[in-house]
Amino acid sequence: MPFLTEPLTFNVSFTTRLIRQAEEFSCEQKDAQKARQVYLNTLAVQAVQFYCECIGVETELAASDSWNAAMRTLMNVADLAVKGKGKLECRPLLLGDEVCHLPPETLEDRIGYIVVEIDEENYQAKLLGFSQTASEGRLSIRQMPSLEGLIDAIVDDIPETEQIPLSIEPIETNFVRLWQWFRDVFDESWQAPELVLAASYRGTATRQEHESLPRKKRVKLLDVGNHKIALLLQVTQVADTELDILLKIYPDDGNTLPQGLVMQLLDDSENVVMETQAGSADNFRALNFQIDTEELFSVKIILENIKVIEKFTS
Amino acid sequence: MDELDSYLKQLSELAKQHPPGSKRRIIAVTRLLAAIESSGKLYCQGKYDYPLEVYHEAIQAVRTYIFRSIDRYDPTRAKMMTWINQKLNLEFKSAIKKFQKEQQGEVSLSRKTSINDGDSQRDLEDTLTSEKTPFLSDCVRQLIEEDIEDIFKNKFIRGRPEVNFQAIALHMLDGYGGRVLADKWDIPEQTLYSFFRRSCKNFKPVFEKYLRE
Repeated sequence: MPFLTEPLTFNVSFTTRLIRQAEEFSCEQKDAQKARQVYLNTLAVQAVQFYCECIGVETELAASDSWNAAMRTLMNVADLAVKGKGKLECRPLLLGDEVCHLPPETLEDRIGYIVVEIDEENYQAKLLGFSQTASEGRLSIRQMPSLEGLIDAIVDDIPETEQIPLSIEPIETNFVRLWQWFRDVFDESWQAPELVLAASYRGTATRQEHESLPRKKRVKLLDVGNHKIALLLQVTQVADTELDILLKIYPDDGNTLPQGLVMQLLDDSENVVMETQAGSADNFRALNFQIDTEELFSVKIILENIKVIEKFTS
Repeated sequence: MDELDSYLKQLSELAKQHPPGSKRRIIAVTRLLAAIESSGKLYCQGKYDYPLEVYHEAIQAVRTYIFRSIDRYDPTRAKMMTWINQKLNLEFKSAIKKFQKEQQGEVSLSRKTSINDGDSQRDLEDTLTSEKTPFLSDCVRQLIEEDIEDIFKNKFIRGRPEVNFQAIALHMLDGYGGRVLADKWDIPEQTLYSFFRRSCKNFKPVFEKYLRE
């Protein structure tokens, strides 16, 4: 991919609101040269602030000298405070210029310097690069490190475990069609309970049988992290268009469920309707509910950052 | 699918592999946006029929949208450029509406002043001139010059009472550079600025208090 070798930059197009803000600040200055300096500084700060907004980094204009009337009058500053990090200096550079001079008042108390190229004619800006240091008081855009360094400086690391795709994208399977169960058509992963479950289960699940109603019962073994969990689903046709569903989870080894394991019932918009959580010595958890035959539902099993989803439809 | 399309698709997949807010996702989306914008394939119908600011409203909204909604992009349903251009044209339409609304507001405002007769118009102008607010920069200068609490002149570099905040600030407001002042007082430029910057920070609440009045 040839594109990947290009330095990382970001474009900003100035809207009326951003231009007016810069004009408002520059109108406070009697000296024309100072007014122009304030105008460009304000544009540069707003360009960087927009990028921060896009990437979800919180900024604090109220804590920035560029946003304080007396401070921006006395100093040549284009600082932007980033919450919990420190101040960025957002230096404007006119289109065509190659070297950005850093005013002496910006050489202390900064976490880094961003060069913001301003194209006045087209009301555009480009975040060109980021440097953590400015020891010589000038940045040359030819030797400027790209924006990756900025992201490193202001974005918090997300813990590595959360970056494993497995835990982010829940494991999903195709819809299980319950109606087919009544015709004895089962997906091979759904098996007869007596073939799968330990002896301890058999006594508990067979009580309160309504012999007269059509009923099917199947079990699927789920891999939830390092644990094997048996999900039992019992479906009973209680009326022409109504099904009674009993969901139970068991530990596959017949002992107890992992503590903190959660089973949720989700509706077709994936909102949680019911849930149950395993305590320290539970050997099963259950949910019981009725649905119309048209309804979709899902069962979500959660253990810490592992999520497994099974979807059902009649 | 051409080279650009497949590159954009790869970047969107790369972005989705990493959790929202993670550095790698941010880098991938930033790269994706740069590639989209430099492709020359952004298309916005009627872009030149309105002032540039209308298009800018729309493209800014698109940039925000890509960062927040990259997970919604489904490469099996549309090419990235198609997805983006659809969003851009939608945002452009709402930017036009907003622009037209503002235009109407301004028109009715100017009509209101134009129905005034000559006398009241002159009155209005007189009022505007007499109430013209002074430059804020002049207010800052005045505050430092008057120094009613005697704080600005009493803040000076150790052992050098003549190199005080008041003197430095007034010179700076007159446009003198730090180098000239450093030579004048024979102190290193960095020392001068360091002192000045710390003093400004120190006096920030004082300025805020007076400028509010």
